[in-house]
Amino acid sequence: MLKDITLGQYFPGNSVIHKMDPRAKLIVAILYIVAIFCAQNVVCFAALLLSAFLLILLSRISVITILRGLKPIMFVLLFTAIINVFLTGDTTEPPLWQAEIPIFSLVWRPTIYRAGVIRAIFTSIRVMVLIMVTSIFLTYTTSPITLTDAIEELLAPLKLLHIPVHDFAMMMTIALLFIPTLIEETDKIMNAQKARGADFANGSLVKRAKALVPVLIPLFVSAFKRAEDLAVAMECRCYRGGKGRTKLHKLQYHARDIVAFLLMCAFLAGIFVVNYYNPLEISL
Amino acid sequence: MSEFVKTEHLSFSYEDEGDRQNPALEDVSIAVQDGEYVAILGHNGSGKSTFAKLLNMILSPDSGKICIAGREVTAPDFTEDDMFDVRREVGMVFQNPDNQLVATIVEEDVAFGPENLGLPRKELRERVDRALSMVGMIEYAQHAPHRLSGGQKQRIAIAGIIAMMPKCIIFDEATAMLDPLGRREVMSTMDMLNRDHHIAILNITHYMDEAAHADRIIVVNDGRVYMDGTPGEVFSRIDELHAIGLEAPQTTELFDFLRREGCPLPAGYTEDEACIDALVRLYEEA
Repeated sequence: MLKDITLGQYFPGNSVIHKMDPRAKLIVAILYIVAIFCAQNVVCFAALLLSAFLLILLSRISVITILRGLKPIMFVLLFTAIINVFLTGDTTEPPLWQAEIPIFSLVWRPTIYRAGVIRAIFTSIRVMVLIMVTSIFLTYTTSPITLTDAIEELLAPLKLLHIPVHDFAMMMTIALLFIPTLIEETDKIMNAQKARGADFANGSLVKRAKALVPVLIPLFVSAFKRAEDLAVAMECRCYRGGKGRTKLHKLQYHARDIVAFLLMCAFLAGIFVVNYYNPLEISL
Repeated sequence: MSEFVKTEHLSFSYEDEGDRQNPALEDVSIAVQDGEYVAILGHNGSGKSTFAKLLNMILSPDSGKICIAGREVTAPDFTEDDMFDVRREVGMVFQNPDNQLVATIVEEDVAFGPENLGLPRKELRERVDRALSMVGMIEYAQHAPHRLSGGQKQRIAIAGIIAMMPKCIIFDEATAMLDPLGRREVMSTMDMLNRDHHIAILNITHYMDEAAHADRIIVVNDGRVYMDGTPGEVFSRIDELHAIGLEAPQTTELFDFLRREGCPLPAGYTEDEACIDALVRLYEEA
């Protein structure tokens, strides 16, 4: 049961996006996020949706998988949409819809304005595109380890400020490395406790939470033991932090990374232009 | 031949909660030559793991001297950088393969040690490929280690040590968590490293049949050196082994039993095949 958990949902593949340098993907994703939050009008949002669709095609990950990735945020989407519909809008305009709901002696008048509806749609698109595109660039097509490498490389200048970038990256790598081991261990401990009559599936929430205590304690103890063993093993292999370390695989930018970067810059510039000039004169 | 690892009058004790000293090692003086294959044998709590931790510089002794690769690691002026230099000469393989792998791809794990040494990329590549083919795992270079069997993982761990090109490798109960097949894989890797590459092997174990592979066996009991000699010498003193709760290999035990019944059989260690031959001859003569 626990084996099904995968962190970050990486789907190995061979698409252009898979092959991109993880650093380039991070930078491009950040640029895209800027574009998402700059978008103001219909043309921009159409461009965002279209580009997100193109990226899905490029990544060769099925649309269904990506839409499924949106499921956990459905509640947030719905909530922000409702808030936007009812609480925002241009009060100088005539309302689209109004009701009068008496609550005791007060009367609540929920009102919907046209601007509020548009705003709700825009915000929903923003959040959806944000989740889709960041997961396409980062979680779906980049393994957690390469992502860690990319973060280490990109933050390397911070070393000048004596921030231990290498150490943080190493910590992340090891944490990721131990996830399958610890999941396996949790399974083992749970089975051992079940064999002694522990019940994890029934009872109230409090009762079930309490049943997990005898799982967590041995898990923590063994995690510390493993951490110590690993530290000793690493030290025996001459590890002493990032000092004087070389790497077997060095990240390398290719032509496609530069192309992707330039395209994204152009896209961002386009969004800016359309925002301020709205050349197509379309407005809602 | 020169002494690669040497200890003189080494003593170490653990402190328990009541500040009482529990001696783990007392007056241990051992020398291991370059390219020697030594097994350190003892049951649990005999002090053999403590000995490994001392050689490893994880613990420092209460008294006595340790010299590794001609340098006294217990000297007061021994610095962290010196420790780095010594550790590249002495590799160590531990019991649990899961707790000594540091990367999610086999070849990157093997590269970890040499990367720490700061070698150029071209040499890293050569060393990783060489180490992986030496342990017969080259076709797994791109695999994820946690999907492999225990014996394979342990061979990856060994490759990670070989890639640093040490002159000596210490195996701290490296086969204790493996199934018989995995143990055989690791044992034949050890034999190969010693025979073909003249790497000194120090195998800390409680398996008799493993100890029989070595050139020399040091039996440790209650923190002291109890016996020191070739497998033949050690296993011929079967009563002394029994006295401290150890058993000789099965063939030796069998011959000992038959000898007591009056059969003319040799004492000491016998390979399985030789044992069968001797029994067949004995049967035909009778």
